[in-house]
Formats: sequence, structure tokens, C-alpha cells
Amino acid sequence: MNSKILNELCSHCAFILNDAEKERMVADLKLILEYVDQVHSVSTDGIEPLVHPINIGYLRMLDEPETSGHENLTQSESIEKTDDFYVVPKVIEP
Amino acid sequence: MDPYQSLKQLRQLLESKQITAEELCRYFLDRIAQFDQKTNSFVSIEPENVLAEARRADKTIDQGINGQLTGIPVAHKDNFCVQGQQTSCCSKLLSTFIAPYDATIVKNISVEGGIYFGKTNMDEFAMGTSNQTSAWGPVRNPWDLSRVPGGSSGGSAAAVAAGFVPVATGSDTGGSIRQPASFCGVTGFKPTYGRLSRYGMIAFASSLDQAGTLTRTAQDASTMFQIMQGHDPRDATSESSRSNKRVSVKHPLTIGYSASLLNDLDSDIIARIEASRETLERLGNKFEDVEVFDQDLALSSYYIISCAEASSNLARFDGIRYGTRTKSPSSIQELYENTRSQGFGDEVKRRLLAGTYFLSNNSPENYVQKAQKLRRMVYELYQELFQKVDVVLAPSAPSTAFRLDEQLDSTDMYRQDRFTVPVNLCGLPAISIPCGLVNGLPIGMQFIGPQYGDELILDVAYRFQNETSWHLQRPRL
Repeated sequence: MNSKILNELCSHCAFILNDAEKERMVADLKLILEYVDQVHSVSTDGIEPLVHPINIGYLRMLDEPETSGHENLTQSESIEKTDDFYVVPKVIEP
Repeated sequence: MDPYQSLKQLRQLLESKQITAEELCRYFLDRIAQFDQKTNSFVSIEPENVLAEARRADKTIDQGINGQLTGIPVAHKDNFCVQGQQTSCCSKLLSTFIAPYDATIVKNISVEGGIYFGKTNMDEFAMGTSNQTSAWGPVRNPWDLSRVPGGSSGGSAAAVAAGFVPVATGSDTGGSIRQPASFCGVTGFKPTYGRLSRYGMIAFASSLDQAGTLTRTAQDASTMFQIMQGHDPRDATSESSRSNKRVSVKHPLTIGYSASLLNDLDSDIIARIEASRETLERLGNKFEDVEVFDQDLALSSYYIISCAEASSNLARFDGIRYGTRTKSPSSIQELYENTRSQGFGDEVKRRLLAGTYFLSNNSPENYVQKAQKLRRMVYELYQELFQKVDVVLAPSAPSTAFRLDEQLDSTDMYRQDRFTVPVNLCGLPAISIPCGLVNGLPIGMQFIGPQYGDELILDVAYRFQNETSWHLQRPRL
């Protein structure tokens, strides 16, 4: 872990950290990585990863278009909207 | 009026009209007004709404149409959506979010007449073990106000311990119900993954998150569980209504126990757990030594998986659809970056950055896949173990509540969860119950059951509480 990697991670996470925060975060992440790196000390050859604790099987849905009818509900908490659209800063300038 | 009465006792008081729901709610509201400034357990409460709901409950009681919780106050952890109420996950990022619908467990409680009493404080997005990462300030432990209540369901545990409500909901991703239950001297129940719907519970790590309860007794936990459980078509991981996997309740039990878990614990804590073991033997149970998975490896695996899942889940908080948005962003990128940087606290950022690292190409080996393989090893060990024993007895936390001003680094704080995370990795049910006081502070122990052995661990916890009085101890506020 170093400041270059942290900058890339911040870019992925959409975070902006100041210099003091970056210094502290690099130190914290180094500690965390030192601790979790022990997972590499154990052989796990031939073991299938377990992604979920219960067998939920494959979920199937009918391949039919549908509308939830909940547009008003889901947009009720929108920060800024016009008609049925969320308003954001312009992404493409004319 | 005794604020520490069981659900059954409260129900009898209400049904026999010795007290009205309005009087009961007024009593708890007054108690909160008097004492909660000391503990900071609640983050939102609307007394007028509570009393209006109580008056409706009284009319229902008069008509003789009683649900199991009619007139009884229930508080919800701030990561459960309650329609029309602030649901902030104790994060600045969601400080303006008003939930447009009820979580399924909230609805189930409401259908049985439970009165929504308010939202309890928690670690931001349920990431923490001390309730110090809340945007609304830390919760203080009712047993000693200079100490933490545990986390992340610290507000719920403190509220029940302080006698502010008889029951509160919580969520447990790696011990967030059981560790605060241990620190606050209450009963914390985390059911089998899938037995309670996750719909409307704001996600932290979806394959680990599980709703549950903080109550005074195992009997109350059982009552709440019966009300809250069941298949929910809106949660694809909720238990099928056709499930026939339930483990039958029986007595006496063969209880698995690993003395190695106690190795680095304080001698007074060991003494309390050993004494509890003797009580359980007196009740006819047998103990068998079992081997448990290396705690630090399981914990490492847990942190990799939970941070990776969180980095994906919390990507949705971008300032577009709900929550807060930074003021006057000049571009869409600035909107995302400023909203998230201003909205999330340090611990959430730390875990999201770590999770992104574990998922990214920068990591030297594939951390997530390695962690998932270790998860399989833990899972298989427990599968084998439950061929030999019915339940496992383990400490809930490595210490009593620590001081708010104690300086613990990230990994020290994470190691608080070392007894609890294997349960979440395997989707097992577990219940933490008080088993003693050490220097005036409560300490808990947990029964861990096989998947769908929820009723089994509730029963053994109930039998233990019938023989002991640790769950009846109260803090002085």
C-alpha cells in the first residue's frame, strides 16, 4: 500500500482525501493488509469458494417486460427531478 | 411501574387494563426524556406520533382484537426502513433520507400491533464495534457512561439495558447484535441467515447481514422471532415457506466447548463462563471438547469478504437518487466525489477503500477468492462439528465494555469480533446471553446452533435463564 495505490482506490471509490487524511489512510490500510495477509499462509488447493452461506439455487424469472408501478415511490426521495427524470449536472456539453 | 418487564408481563398489564397503551408509552417516553441525554441511544423519536399510535392500540384492545404486541413499544435500529421516518444508518450521507416504505420485519412487528417508538443509534452503516462511528455521536453504556455499549447495534442494546424500551431490533453482520448484547447485559439473538427478511434493511455485506433482536430474555427473543420470521418474496435469500430443515428442540443437549477459545481472556471472564458451564451441566447437558477454526484466519476472511461486498453495496450512495447531495457541483464527477467524501465517515471510507483494494487488480493475489475458500473451510468444520454436538458454547466478546477514550487501532477494534464472525460466515444462528458481572460490568456468552437450529438455541438460553439471574441485573442510571 502506498500513496499511488491509494490515489487509484480513491478514484474508484469517488473519494477525495486531503494530504493528512491520505497519510493516515495509507498507514491504516497497511495495518489491515498486514493482518489479513495471513489468509495466504494457508493452502486452499482444491477447495471451492463459498460465496453464500445458504443454498439459494438459481433464481428464475419470467422473461416478460414489466413495470413495478412504483416510480412515484422510488422517486419520492429524489434530490432533484424534472417530470420522471433525475436532474444531474450536464454530462455532455452541446 | 417497572421498566424492565417482559413482553408477557406487559401484555398482561395491557389486556387486564391495569395500564393503557398510552400510559405505557408515556412512561417510556418520560424515561427516555429523563435519561437518554446520558446514553444517546436514540437518534429520532416523535412522541406525538408514538402517543397517537398508542391511542389507536387502546381502541384495538377495547375491541378485544389483540395482536401479540398490541400497545408494546419497539425501537428499530436506524438501518431499517420505517415508512415516513428518517432512516439514516447514522450517516451524514443519508441524514435527509425519509424511507418511502417499511422493511418487512418492521411491517411484521407493526401487523402484530407493536408501536414504532423511534430509531436507535448505531455505527455508521453498521461498520464498527463500539458505536463510536455514528454521525450522531457515540452511545454511552448505561452500566458505565465512560464506556462504549459495543456495536454496531449499540443504541438498541443500550436502550434495552437502560429500560427505555422492552425490545429493539438490530442487525448482525459480524457480531453487531451479540457483542453489544454482551457489553450491555442484554439478550442478543442473530437468527439463521434467511429466516428474517433483509428487505428494507440497508445493506452492508449482503451474504453476511442478518436482522435480529435485543431483548431482556430469551423468551422475549423467541416471541419476537416468531413475529418477525417467514418467507418474503421480496428477498430472494429469505427462507422458503416450504422449508423443512428446522432442527427439533430437545433437552438435554450435547454442547461443544473449546477451552482454547478462552486462552487470552481475563481470568474473571473465564471464571464466569466456566461457572455457566457448570450450571448447564447441572441441567443435564453434556459437554464435549471441540476444535474450532483459527479465529484470526476466520476474522481475516470475514474482513476481506465484508469490505468487498460493502464496496459494491455502498456504490449506490452517489447523491443522485436519495440522501444528501453536495452543493452546486460543477460536473457529475464532482457531484459523486464531493457527495461521498463529505457524506461518509472515516471508518466507512477505510472499509470501502480496503474492499476496493481486495477486489482490484492491484492486489497481489486474489484476496476475495482466497477468503471465500477459507469461508468454505470454516463452514465445513461447523458442518462436521454439528454431527457430534447439538450446539456450541463460546464467549460473545473478548472483554467487558472498554472505555470511550481507549485508543484501539483498526485491527485491535476488528479483533473484538473474533468470537462472533464465524457464525456469520456460515449463516448460523447464535444468541448471546448475560452470564455474569466482572468489576460491575456485564459479560455474555453465546450459544451457536446449526443452520435452522434457531429454536434449539433459544430453548437452551431460556433454560439457562430460568436457572440464573444475570439477565435480571440492571444498570443504575
